[in-house]
Amino acid sequence: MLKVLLQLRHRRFRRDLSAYLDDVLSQRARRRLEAHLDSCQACRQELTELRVTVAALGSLPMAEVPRSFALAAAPVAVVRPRPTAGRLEFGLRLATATAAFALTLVLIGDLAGLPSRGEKETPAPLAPAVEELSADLQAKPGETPATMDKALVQTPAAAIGAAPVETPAAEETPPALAAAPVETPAAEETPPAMAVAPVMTPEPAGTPAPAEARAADETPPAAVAAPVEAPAAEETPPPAPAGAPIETPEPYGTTEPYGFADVERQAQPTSAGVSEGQPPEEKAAEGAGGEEEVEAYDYGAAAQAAAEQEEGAGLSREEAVRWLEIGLSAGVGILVVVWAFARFQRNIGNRP
Amino acid sequence: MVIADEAQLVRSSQSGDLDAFNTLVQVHQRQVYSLCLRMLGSAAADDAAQETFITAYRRLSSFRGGSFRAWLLRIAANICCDELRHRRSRPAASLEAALEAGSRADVPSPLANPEEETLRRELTRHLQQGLATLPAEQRLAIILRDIHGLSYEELTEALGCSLGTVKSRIARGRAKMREYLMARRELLPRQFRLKQ
Repeated sequence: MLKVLLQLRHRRFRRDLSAYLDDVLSQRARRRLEAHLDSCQACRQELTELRVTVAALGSLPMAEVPRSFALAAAPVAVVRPRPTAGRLEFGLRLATATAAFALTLVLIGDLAGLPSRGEKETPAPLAPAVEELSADLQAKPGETPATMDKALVQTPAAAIGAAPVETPAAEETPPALAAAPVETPAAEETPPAMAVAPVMTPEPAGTPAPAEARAADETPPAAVAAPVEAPAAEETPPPAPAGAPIETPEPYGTTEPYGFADVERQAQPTSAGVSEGQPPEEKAAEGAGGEEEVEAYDYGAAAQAAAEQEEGAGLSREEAVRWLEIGLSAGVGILVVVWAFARFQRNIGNRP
Repeated sequence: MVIADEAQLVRSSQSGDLDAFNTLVQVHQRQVYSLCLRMLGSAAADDAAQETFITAYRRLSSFRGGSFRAWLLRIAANICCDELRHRRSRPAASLEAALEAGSRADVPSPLANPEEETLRRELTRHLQQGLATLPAEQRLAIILRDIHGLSYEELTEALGCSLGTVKSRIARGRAKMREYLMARRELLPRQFRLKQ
């Protein structure tokens, strides 16, 4: 037993020999080791051999350099992030945007479904209405946005209906997302979203009575038009336009340029829309609007738009994307707050 | 000697002064090249040393004071370890082969007489072969400690590990080198032979 203990002690001292040579042992450890060395021949021998080894290693000379390694010029190429990293980041952004969009839709849907009757509306019945509306829109694109208010009240229905149609598209169009920011350089770019609304609004206005009636029937929430409802109305316009381009191609044979032109046309209506709307909802609309753009751009004009942007605004692509993202998150955040507030109010109202 | 200027040179280099950086290269290139030579053999040492300085220039902004030599040697050490890892995936080129081929690793000293020169070469060859048998991390540690003479503090910087780890790597590396050399003690030059 004692032998084993001594063996263990001995092994520990052996481990310390190297540090002892370099004089990096603590005072106490060194004194103990020295005491051990006095009594242990094997350790003394090993210490001597270690000294010889270290001396031999130390005798190795520094090699002469075969040439100078001075840099002739500052190395330019900085290590670029791996393409996979870029793709991953893009994927994450896309996922975030999609999630935000989905959340927006869910909240809007919930807001729209809030009415006291508690009826549950399924988006399915709305879809036909949307198709009809968009068809009408295509038929009468020349209509002026005079009836904006009316349109805003009605669009929620269209928006809800269009939602399911929308989301898959959003997921399938990565390049478009990249292109989108190009068009919307800054947060002020809200125009696209708002502008889209005016373009769309003629649709309900111009639509024949039956369609309007139907929409109204199916969307009691919109009719209620409580202050809480207004935000929903504000936000919904954006989805609608995207719905239109998607559906139009088949029946009318209209092609990409059309959808693109729609977005481009926004310029003047924009200001009107912005001046009219409530600030917070506007933001939310803008967020959704960003996604809208994505859709519109997927129709082929992305490159062209990118070129335009490069020449036009002084904002870089990255900045544009960042601002768009900030806008989007702010919009979604505000929407969540509005939704929570609406919920809360409703609950209070229901309690008595 | 250069320590006082070195901080200044590093600062100039960090602000993009290539000449200042090249002065630093001149000061440290021998150490960097030696480390690469001992770790990789002469065939790959040249490229590794050059890559070290290119990488160092690019990462100058990440140098936050301390020993510039240790920082530089750490970059070199990482490059060498990468190269060794790369080699392991290509078993054809073994380190021993590289070191055998790289007999340039021993540098003739002009002052030695022929007999001493022969002995010295012999010792160098043994040491190189002994080093080649060590795991890369232990080899790195004892090269930097016993050949380059880095302090333990510098070693923690250059190896990027704790003082305890540094001590244990050096202890284990030296113990293995001791065994290797003692098994061939009759081949060693006289001054390294022990009285039995």
